[in-house]
Amino acid sequence: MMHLTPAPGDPPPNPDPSVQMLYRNAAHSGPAFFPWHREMILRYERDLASAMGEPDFALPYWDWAADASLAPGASAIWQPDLMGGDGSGANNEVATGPFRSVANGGTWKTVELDNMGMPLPAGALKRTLGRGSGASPLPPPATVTTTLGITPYDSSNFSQMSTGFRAAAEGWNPYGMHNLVHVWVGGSMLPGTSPNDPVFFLHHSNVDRIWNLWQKQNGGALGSGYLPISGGPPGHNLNDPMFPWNTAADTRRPADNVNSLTLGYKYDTD
Amino acid sequence: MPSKRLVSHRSHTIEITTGMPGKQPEKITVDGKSVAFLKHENGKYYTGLLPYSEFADLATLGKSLVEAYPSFAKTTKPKASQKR
Repeated sequence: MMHLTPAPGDPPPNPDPSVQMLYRNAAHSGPAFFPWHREMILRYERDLASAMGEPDFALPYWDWAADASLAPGASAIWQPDLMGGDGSGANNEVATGPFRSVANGGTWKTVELDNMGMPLPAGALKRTLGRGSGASPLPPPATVTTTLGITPYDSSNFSQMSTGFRAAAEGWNPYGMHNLVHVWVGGSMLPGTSPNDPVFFLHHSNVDRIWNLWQKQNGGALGSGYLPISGGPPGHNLNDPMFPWNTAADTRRPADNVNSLTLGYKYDTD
Repeated sequence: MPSKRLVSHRSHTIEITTGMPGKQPEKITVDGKSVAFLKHENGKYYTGLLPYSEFADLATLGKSLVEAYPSFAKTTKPKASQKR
């Protein structure tokens, strides 16, 4: 699964895929980061519920800040009865749990793309918990608290380096939070095919929960605070359709997703 | 005067050129293939190929690309009919 999608209005793609999507796209490095991923994980949740025949199924969240003081791999989430453990061997393939590699008796196969965006043969899930390049410890609770105190939601030029809650929580300014969790897990969570690791969805459920916390802390109610209303990059204004849900048959806007209550759910921390 | 630095990592050659005139004074190639990157105002480097990472320098960026994309040098530009 690839979720680095260009947004309408983004610069025309360079013929060389390796130079595409350097900066903001429909899902990242812009204000729609939160509502876009909310849409993604809700659709995944619905698909999973349908596949399991459990219509009341809800994705859990991984409160990674609560694990920041633990040794890498020590958290309950990395045990064989949940998400499985760290990678091992020369290729850092996951060898335990339900998503262990075929070579380790599992069935989980990843979708792999090369640096040009071309398909490669299916691979194995890889992880380097807390030991990859650039993987400093997980963001601690104090960092989450600091991030929740940042206002406004976003600001011009609505990019990686803009000031506001979104750029801080996404993990660009300052670096950390959401981005650092991807890097801390490492392996399959590093490239744009990061949803190959099911922990992606538990991570983003937590990011989604943090958005709700910010809304209540700074706006007083769920659904408040989103910016920009207009004047921002296409696909990121409150009422812009978000690519790829920008067709007449399937249209989703940030405005549709800012309030989780209208979508039928809330968190235990709301 | 541009200067070049070669870094070898896992049998791949990373070439970093600095001091070039113009808006993009730096360049990085991996096995001869140019890598697009962005330099943030804070001096850190970013590439869309590793979209959650920032790098202190281009050598680290290049090494990380080789780790994440072991087939980096083997790939060729897609033909027009293969483009998504």
